[in-house]
Amino acid sequence: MCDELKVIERVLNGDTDAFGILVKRYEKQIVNYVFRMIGNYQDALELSQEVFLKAYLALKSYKSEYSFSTWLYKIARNRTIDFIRKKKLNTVSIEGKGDEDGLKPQYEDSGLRPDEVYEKKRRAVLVEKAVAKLPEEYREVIIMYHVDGLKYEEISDILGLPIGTVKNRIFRARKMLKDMLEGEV
Amino acid sequence: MKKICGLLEDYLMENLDEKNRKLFESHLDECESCRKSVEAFSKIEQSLNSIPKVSVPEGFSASVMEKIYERKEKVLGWYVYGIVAFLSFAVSVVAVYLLGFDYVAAKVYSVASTVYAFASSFSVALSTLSGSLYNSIDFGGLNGVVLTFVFVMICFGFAKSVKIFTREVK
Ligand SMILES: [Zn+2]
Repeated sequence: MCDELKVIERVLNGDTDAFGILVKRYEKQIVNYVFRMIGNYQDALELSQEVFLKAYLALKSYKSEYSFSTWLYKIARNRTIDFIRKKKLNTVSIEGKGDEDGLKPQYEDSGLRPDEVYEKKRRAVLVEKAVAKLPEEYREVIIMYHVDGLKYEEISDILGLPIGTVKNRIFRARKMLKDMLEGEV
Repeated sequence: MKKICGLLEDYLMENLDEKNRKLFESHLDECESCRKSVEAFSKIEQSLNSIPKVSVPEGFSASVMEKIYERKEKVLGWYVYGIVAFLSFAVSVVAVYLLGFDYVAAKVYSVASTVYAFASSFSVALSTLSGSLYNSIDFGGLNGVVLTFVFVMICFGFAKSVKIFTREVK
């Protein structure tokens, strides 16, 4: 955290290349968040690049009352919601129809044994589809908490909501998923 | 349904304090309904935690940096334009103030007429060249085509050079 502020200071003092350190540190989380929100890998990569560019241009306005990660997520969230509004996507289709020519997402190695893979894959596909069907405000908390591994406090800062509300929203989202997946996982 | 069953939601939301959490956990041993709910939710949580992560392509951060440098270059370009425009404006104001309007106007007129003279001599050269071209080659109707072609090429070259000098960095 502390050295992060130093990196930011270096960037603000004209060492543009140092911004690359911040990009490398957060690219995975941001790309995964955007991808799970909009469902298209290529768009997610482009949007994430815009998010980092925007963060660079607005870096002067960053105040250390929040962590840099929280600030970055706020930018990513605004940009993503904007994108969804423009495309009028209410639900996302992971690797959706209609973009067969698009860039296919590369998944990370799960480190599972072959016999575990099949069952886990089957469940993962069902869960991914169910998450994609959640209303936006429920989808985002589930992605932040379960995919990006953020803490309740961080999510509450990003969304500007009390922790209680965040917990409640995550709980209700899980409940919806439980109903959707009843008996399937 | 006992009173303690009412703690289920708060238990799942991790809202219970230490004492109540322990109380509820011992209640799970005797209440099948609560136990089933808790199991179902933990299954959902596990599946959510195992949603696969997508990887980020190798050159991602490099292309972010490229975008940043392109943007900086563009901004720098506008600064230069701005400074040049401001300086020329300032110089002309100072010149008019120091030398008087008539003097400056005369100077500007003389520069403009030099440019005009150069341009017209260029056009004379061009028309002489194309005229001799026109006379030396006798392809009948083709001459018109050749002249048009030469003219278009010149225009194209001019447009290209303008584009190079005013190239906008995206
Ligand atoms: Zn009970």
